[in-house]
Amino acid sequence: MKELARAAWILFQAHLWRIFRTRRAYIAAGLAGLPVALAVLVRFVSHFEGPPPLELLVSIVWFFLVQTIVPLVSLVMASAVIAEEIEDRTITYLFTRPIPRPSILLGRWLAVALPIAVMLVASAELVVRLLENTGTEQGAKEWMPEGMHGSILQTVLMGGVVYSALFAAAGALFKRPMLIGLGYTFVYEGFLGNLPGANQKATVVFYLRSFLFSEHRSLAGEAEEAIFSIPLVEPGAAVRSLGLILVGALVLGAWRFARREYVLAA
Amino acid sequence: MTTVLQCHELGRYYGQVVGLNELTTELGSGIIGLVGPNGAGKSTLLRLIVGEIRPSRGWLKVLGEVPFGNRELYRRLGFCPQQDALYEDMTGYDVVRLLLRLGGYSPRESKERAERALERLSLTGRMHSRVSTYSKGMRQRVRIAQAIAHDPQFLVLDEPMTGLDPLGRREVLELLRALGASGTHVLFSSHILYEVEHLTAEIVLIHRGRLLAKGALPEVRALLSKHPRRVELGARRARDLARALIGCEEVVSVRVSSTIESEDRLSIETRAVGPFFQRLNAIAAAERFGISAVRSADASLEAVFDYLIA
Repeated sequence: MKELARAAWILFQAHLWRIFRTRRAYIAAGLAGLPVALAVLVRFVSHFEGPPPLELLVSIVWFFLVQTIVPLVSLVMASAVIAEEIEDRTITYLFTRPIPRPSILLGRWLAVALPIAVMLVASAELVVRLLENTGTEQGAKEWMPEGMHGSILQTVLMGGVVYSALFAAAGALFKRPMLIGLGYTFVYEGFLGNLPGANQKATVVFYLRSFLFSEHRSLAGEAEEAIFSIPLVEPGAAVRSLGLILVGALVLGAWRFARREYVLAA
Repeated sequence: MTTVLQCHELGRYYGQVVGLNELTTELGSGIIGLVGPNGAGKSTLLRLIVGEIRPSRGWLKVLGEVPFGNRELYRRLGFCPQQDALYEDMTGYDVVRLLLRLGGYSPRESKERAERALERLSLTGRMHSRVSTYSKGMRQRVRIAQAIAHDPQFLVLDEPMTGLDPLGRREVLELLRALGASGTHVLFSSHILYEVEHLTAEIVLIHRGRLLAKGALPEVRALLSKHPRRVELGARRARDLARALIGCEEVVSVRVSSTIESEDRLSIETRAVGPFFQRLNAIAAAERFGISAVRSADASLEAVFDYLIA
């Protein structure tokens, strides 16, 4: 375990700064900037008496940022964790070092999870700030229920970390993690996660929804039926479930990665 | 002699494609050249040796250990892969240092070892430049440097001369020779037989995934006793000499080829080299044919290789 942590830490340090030079990082930053761009548009185009309606915040933060941008940013960055080493054929150097193979997945995942978290939290923070200051000053302070701002940031953070772990694991499990990830995001999470029924509990988005809305049901407004088609779980239970998904994904990915052989082109 | 590698009925298939087939052999210490044409299975064997892939059948032991995912073995193993792959946005020094850190060395020792290894490959002057700015030869030097930096007991190199200029080739040959002399077991693949021949007489020949021959070059050569051997002669009166030789029982065939100089060249195939040369001496003493050069054309590894895969 000590060797695993040591090697993961060395790989995290070595790859963290490299991430920012990749094309994937620019694409991810562009995606994370889309909700901000939308908020800027709302800020300069819309005219509200008082603060903007909370439905607007929910639409941008929940439907756009959490349900679409968070998994996409995670997918773009994290699906490359293993795939990049294989495509670049540099994995040979790591495989022939006296390190536990799972440390490669863990170290490289950490090196993308941090930038993902920073990008998404920054995006969410900017969206909230921009919308908060839209409209007249009056009532801006009471715009959101207490603790909602923090919940939004935590939701985005947890979503980025959990999705990135899932997509990093997909890189170890499948040959084309990007395609698998796109299918997962839009078909599995997007469809199953919004289809009424207990099947929602098999998605990440359900637990993110539970964390964000279980104590702030009123936020949903007219979208209540779409968001709360089944009873939500308590925030604590949602965090535990997300933690289990995170650990499960990493363990499964690491287990497969340690056993799988990768035939590289000469 | 230490047994570095043992394999028994070792096979590796890529779907329907045979990479390596029923390879049973043992390799001892020293410098060993792995020879074969492209697609012979050299890289497959080396990838099996370093545990990058698993055998489809049979077994393989390297320094007494099964290689796949064997961390203890990797401390004693150095591998220079064939593929021209490196972390492009890192410097050569950073690549070697990172891999040493992963090998368990402290930051200070990794720094010292990385500098030393890159110095041995004459890369000190450019070691802090990004890999993406390196020439092919410099990239190859980095790959070799990372393989030797931790002083491995067993060094495996896949086509180590690729991309190197003549000076670089000589330097790497000298380096490998020095490593071999210092007790490192070296196994390297090449299809440039000249290089293999200049580094070691101990060779393993594989073709189409099968072991063709193994051992010291003279031993391998002895396997060819059933094959006719070729002798080349340069002579002013080559056609007359050919007429004199063609009736001899030791001679299988004679071919005359013209050159732009004043003499022609004879290519003779014989089944018995010793008696042939005695006969040639007698003929040359009896009549002046203007023989200017005599060369055993297939003493080289290239010829051995050609015979064996024919």
